[in-house]
Amino acid sequence: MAEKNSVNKYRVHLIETDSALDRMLSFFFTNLASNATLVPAEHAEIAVIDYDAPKATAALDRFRKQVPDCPIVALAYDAPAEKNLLHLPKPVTLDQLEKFFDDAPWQALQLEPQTVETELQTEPPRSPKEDLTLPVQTSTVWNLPQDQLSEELYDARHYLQGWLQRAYRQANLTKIPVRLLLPEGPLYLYPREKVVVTPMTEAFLIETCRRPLEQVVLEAAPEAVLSEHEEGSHFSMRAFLWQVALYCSRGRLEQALVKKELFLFKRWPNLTRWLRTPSALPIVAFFYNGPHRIEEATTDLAVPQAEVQALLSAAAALDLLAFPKKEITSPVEVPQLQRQERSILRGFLKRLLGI
Amino acid sequence: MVDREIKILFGGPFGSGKTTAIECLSDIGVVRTDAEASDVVGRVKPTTTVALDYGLIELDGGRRIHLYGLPGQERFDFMWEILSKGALGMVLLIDNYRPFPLRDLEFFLKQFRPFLERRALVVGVTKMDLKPKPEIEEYQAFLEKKTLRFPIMEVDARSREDIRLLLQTLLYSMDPTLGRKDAHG
Repeated sequence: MAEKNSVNKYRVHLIETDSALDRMLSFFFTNLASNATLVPAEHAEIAVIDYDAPKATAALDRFRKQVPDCPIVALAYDAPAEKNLLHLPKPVTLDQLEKFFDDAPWQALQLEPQTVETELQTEPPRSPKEDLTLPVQTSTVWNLPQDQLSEELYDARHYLQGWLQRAYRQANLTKIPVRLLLPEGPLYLYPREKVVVTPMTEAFLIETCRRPLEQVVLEAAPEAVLSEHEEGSHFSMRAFLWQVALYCSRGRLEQALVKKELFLFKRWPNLTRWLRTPSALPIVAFFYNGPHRIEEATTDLAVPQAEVQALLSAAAALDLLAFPKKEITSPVEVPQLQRQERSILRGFLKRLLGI
Repeated sequence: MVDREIKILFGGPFGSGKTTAIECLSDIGVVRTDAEASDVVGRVKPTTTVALDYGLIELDGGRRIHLYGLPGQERFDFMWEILSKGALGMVLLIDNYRPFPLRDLEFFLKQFRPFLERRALVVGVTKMDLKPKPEIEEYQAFLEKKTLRFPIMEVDARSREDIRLLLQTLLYSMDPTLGRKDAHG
């Protein structure tokens, strides 16, 4: 099981009302809380507001438009008239705040016991399940280019990857569409729908990612409308950034990772929908099951170092990596396979790979 | 299980795609075991049935992979423990179109906790094309809050490619070196 770290803290958004209590709450979550951490609204699992502040109503409305489903706890002297707010009575001490997040009462609202036996939901008509040749979007495999690279590292900031990351940050912060003006045409990010629209073909995109991009215009595009774009050029934002990072890497390691010794995948990438390299699954499994060095993966899995570096660079772009300082006990309990079991599983794997 | 056979389980709520997924892999037609409810429940709901799906993959040398789709109804949980014996791992399919899929995930993780402490699990979230939320990142955050670590990906149970990738993930999570060309069994 994973050790408790910042990933396991409740993600809290403070709905700002410019009150004195806001400043206390901000200080508490930033410096004192052991079980909660402040995050932007779109990443929050619970929000907090000083309900008695003069600007509270307007701030609440804005937040709800942005994140309609997030539970909200209102700090107030009197219970709010609205029934869908959790109430934490004032005056509230820091100990009471800490205990509130220990108890996490909003989870009871979401996780009431439910029998698995529910009626079958009415679904929109779908194609017959016997037809397994449906045009389902799946990931594709990309083979790293074989050209010899003179450098082992690359700085993502000077490539499309870095520009894209900046654009993502702006879009996620403002929730307003962002446009990147590239020589090949504008690229649009729609943060609410989490979609990227680009006019580039895959070949063009790969070519764009090969060379540094020193000047790119990045601007807000509030007038942009997703529905006005052609369907074929849409990508999920995370899938697109992963893909661009792979293309920019081409087997080199992103330079921010060069000082890291041990790598651990915090989360499994969505490889049924994201671009894969030929050995992506075993490489990700290797680094997911425990922190390892790059050379260990190359040796133990008999895979090219370039492929390992490309996947780690892409993972870093999406904040999927942790960098333990030292060897730790594997966070994943790997079942011990008997020899016969391993042999059968190898045969099964060959079947699955179509070998 | 004899020496040349292993068992893999498919779990998840009713309608999550277990049968469809097993059909994608099985060398034989999927065998379904239906039983009419004959107990007190049957007086209330005479049409209630339980379905246990079975599929088989035959490899060379007489080696076999048995695929068991566990019935999703809670009242047949006694079968879960029986069927889990000797299984090497589980594919858990969660239907994102259901009202509370995260609760479904929590339910099954809790039910199979003793099994999952020793065995591998991958989670496939189905029907995300019909209902995109919760997103995969929300499932991952949910697992992290529970200090659990399992691969979780979006799948379409009708897609052979998706199911193959899911099973590959299960196998590699048991042993990332399984696919080494120079490895010996």
